[in-house]
Amino acid sequence: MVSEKEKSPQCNIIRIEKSYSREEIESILDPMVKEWFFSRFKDFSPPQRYAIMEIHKQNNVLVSSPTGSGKTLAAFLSIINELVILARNKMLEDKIYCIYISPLRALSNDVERNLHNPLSEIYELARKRGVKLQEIRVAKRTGDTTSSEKARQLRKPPHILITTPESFTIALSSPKFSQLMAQTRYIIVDEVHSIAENKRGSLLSLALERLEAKAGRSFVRIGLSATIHPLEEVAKFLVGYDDDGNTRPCKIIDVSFEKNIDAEVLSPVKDLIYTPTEVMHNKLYELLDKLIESHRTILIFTNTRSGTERVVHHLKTKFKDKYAEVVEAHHSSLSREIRLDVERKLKEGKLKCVVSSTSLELGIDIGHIDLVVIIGSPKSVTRAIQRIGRSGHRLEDVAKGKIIVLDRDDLVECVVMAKNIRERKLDRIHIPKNTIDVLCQHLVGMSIERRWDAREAFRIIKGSYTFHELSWEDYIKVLRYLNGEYAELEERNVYAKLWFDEKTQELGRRGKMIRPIYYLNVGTIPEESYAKIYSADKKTFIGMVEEEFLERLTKGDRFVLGGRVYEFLYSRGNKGYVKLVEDAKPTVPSWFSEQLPLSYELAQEIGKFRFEMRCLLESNADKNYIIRHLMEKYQVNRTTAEAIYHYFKEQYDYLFVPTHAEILVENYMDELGRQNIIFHTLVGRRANEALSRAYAYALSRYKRCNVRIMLNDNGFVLVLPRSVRVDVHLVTQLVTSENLEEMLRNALDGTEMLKRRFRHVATRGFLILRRYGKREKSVARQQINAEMLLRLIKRIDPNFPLLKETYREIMEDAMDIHTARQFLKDIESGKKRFVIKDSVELPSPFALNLVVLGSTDAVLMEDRRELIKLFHHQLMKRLGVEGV
Amino acid sequence: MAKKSKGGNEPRPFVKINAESNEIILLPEGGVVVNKRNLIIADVHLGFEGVMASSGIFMPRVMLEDAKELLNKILRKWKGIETLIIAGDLKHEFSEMHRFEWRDVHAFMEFVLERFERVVVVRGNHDNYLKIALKRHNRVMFEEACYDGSSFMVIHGDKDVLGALSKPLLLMGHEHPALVIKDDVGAVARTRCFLVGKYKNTTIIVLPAFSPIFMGTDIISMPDNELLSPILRRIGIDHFKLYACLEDEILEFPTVGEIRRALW
Repeated sequence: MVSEKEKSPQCNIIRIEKSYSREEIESILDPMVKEWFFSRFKDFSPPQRYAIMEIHKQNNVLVSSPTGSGKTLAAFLSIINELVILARNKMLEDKIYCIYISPLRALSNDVERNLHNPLSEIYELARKRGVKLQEIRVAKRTGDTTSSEKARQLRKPPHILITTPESFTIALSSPKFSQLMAQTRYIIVDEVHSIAENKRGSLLSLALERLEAKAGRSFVRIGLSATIHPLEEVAKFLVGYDDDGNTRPCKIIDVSFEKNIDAEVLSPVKDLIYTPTEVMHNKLYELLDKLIESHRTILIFTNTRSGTERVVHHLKTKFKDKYAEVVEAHHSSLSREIRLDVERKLKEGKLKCVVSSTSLELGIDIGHIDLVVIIGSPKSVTRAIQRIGRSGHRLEDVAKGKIIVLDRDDLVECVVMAKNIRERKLDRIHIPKNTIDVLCQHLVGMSIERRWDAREAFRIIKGSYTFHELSWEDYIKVLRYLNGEYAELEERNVYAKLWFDEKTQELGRRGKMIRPIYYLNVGTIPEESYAKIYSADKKTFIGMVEEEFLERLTKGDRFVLGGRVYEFLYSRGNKGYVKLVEDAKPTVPSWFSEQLPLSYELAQEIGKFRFEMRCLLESNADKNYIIRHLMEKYQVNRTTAEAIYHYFKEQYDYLFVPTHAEILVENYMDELGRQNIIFHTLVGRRANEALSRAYAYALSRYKRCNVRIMLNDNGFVLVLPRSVRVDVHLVTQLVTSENLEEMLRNALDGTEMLKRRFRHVATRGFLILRRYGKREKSVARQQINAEMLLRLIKRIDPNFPLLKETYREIMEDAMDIHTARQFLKDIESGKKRFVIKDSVELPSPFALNLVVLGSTDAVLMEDRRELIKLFHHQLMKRLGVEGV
Repeated sequence: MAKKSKGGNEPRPFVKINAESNEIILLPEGGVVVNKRNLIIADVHLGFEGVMASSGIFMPRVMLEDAKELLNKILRKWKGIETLIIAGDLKHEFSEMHRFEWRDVHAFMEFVLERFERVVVVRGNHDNYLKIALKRHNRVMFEEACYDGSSFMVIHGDKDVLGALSKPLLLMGHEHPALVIKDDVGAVARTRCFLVGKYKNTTIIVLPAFSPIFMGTDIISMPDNELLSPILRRIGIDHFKLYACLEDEILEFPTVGEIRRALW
């Protein structure tokens, strides 16, 4: 049965409002499948009531529902049913009927088990009933699959194939196996929300189009998603576009609101500001202990992997007798064996507590969790819901979450967040588009597959959500790069990754070597480049830091590594030499690359909360009244409400309470005599990143000096050299919605972010091959770094495709230039305004975290020679030779 | 934003030093002219791109063209130079002679032979197999060290020759010295530099890498015992004066020791 085809492109994505009745669903099920289902379940769960029939009718669907709602089975039941019917009638062929794609290899393990169980139970039942069924084969294909297993899959194709986006993409270039895949009728993309938001999604999105083109017909696309917004966008990502440029049809099944969530904000201490760190630390673990004690199994989320390690370490050492054996860590840098072991123990109920960073956000089946604890703000309502949703395994259970805050900004943020969780105000997902580096990988893959007419390849590429807006010019430039046209003719064979003839518009494979190179280098998850740190006197190894972090260290800088403070002395090649300093404060903040960004939507809500508080304070409302108001409206206890009240009261009395529309700008001199300009721009971390750098650059150009940036989720600081002073009113006018992009682009020059992102993009785009030939690479690689390469590439073409992609990735994915531009437009139209407070003695309470803990970067003035001259001048002055 | 003041603090288009009877001119391009007729450069590292390519990194080809351009720039400003002396590491790869490296070395030799009467290549630690390549070019000499009568000596710097010093002037490469500074807002700048010091009666000049793409070694923070050259390790560089190359100008600094003390 085929669904009615809608004509207008807007109507292709529709939400289904009506569920099917039990009788309707039963009517399509094979008796064996039906009997099995009701031997295991009382009734169909909400997602199953919608999805099973739609999939049966061969419609594309996107299912969004919480953990424990039978989502996986909702996707599989129709398919199992169809295969059982075929198996019963001896009509099951040696071909792939369904491909299941999951972002996690561990997750595929899980589903294989979840598929094997129903299937073996159905077969058991069939045996009992004396019904003969052909065997339904399920097999996995990931990076770990051996070549003999792959050969077996070719001889006896699995009816259901379980794979990852990377392995799926690689298999498209395998001449025989791709033929098998092209026969598939269904493709299930699990955790599509998590795949869509990064470049793995770009890889998958085009891979699906390539398979569809190969098949020459449509297959049913089934997306499974956690709570996400907007589902329409994720649906478009899942189904892509047809040849006429219309979105393919998709039905959205949204039952994510059926699970109740109970979220509470907890503070380990009464006073979040004057409590000594030591006490705070102890109280936190006392609180965790209490929570673990009073529940069966709890899942703790930290925001970083290092945080996960710390929490596990402290729980195991502080409560040795209790927790040494029953608390474990689970994060993506742990080996697969360890992770699987932890998951198994969890399911068997052998653990009291598991601590994770992001790896357990996804739907791995981890058994019964009765409480989720989140340490530190998860920075987005959607992420909070996804995390808390890991508790209460059945749909009817209430998902219980405690968010533990450790400072006052966190407190305010999480209290506002908890309210938004209750009201389900979700943040918007950002799906990257036109990711040129991923396109490079696909084009090489396509060239290996067969010879193409470039126009035909372009048409397929444009079917993908990611590349739908790709221009022909950009596409041709990528082909030219891959054809080695940036190298000289005689060297082209060394560098070229495919062969492209612009006259005939044909492209194809270049050389035999390219296939193994492609297989070894496909992938979108960046590998950081690490530098080793040694102690200078004993030459003993201390630890690793990211390459760019080492590059920015100069002698005398102090930083934290493995919990201790070291002073940087010198570096040679890719090694840094340091000495341990006792009782010293770090002068350089540690790398913040893993930090989660505060979402724009939540930032706006916090801004509105600030406004609400300011109105209350301005109205001279009684303290008790405000506290009661907070307790009622935000469902917090008295201590929390008091802490919030005092925080705002201090800010209000001292200076001014900024809001979403009134942006406080403070101007003060720090203890080193440097002018600090503090912007309270509450527009989300990514937009803040863009604004801070654009302002820093504009100021740097205006005053011809370097400017240091400090930033966090709540705003940013511009720090000027001692010798420079500037009028703040003027500074606020330096960046406009018109010049933002130009300022930002220039500001990125020479920054660590640009170097780091360029290295990632260059690696994804095959400019730097991670794995290549047999030669030992490390020596050669240490002689060149991202900065050198970047400079040289810029010299040959400032619009080099991968350079352009680096800027796009930074401005659109890492930063949010669109929101930043909207902010500036709002300033220009008067919807928002700056409130400037000049000559502030000390930073206001709201600015404290920003000044003390903000992550930093420097924006350099354009003429680097000036910097040397300035240094020379200062040096001569210090040496007393000035005025010679 | 250095203010215009009189005296030796200002950047200059070149710097002239005298050592005994030798007239030495330091050039912002990274070369040294000795006694008007000799141009000395070091560490050209031709073929670097090929080495990168064979390890899977696409690096645009710039080394040869950069070197040619810098030499042309020098020759336009300085007339009467007859001899070019390369103080080692003309090419990059140690273990084999890469095809492109081979081609670049020949192209470079053809280029310099058209412009100089005499070309001497001092052997550097990267210059294995170079002898064979240079056989083709008649007027090129390949030496372990280059002497000019009683006046000066050019070596690469990877071997300790202090015991055999007989000339009043020694020029060397190998170390790739650079000045790296950080200002009070944490901005970092980096520039190639010359080091000029003395051992007994001999003036020692350490040249920066001629190829401007090399970042160089932060000579200020590097402890003396970690320097690459055994010569510099032995005598220490605290008393060496530093001359920074700023594109078209040279900026004279105090000694390395004074800078080190002023910073820490």
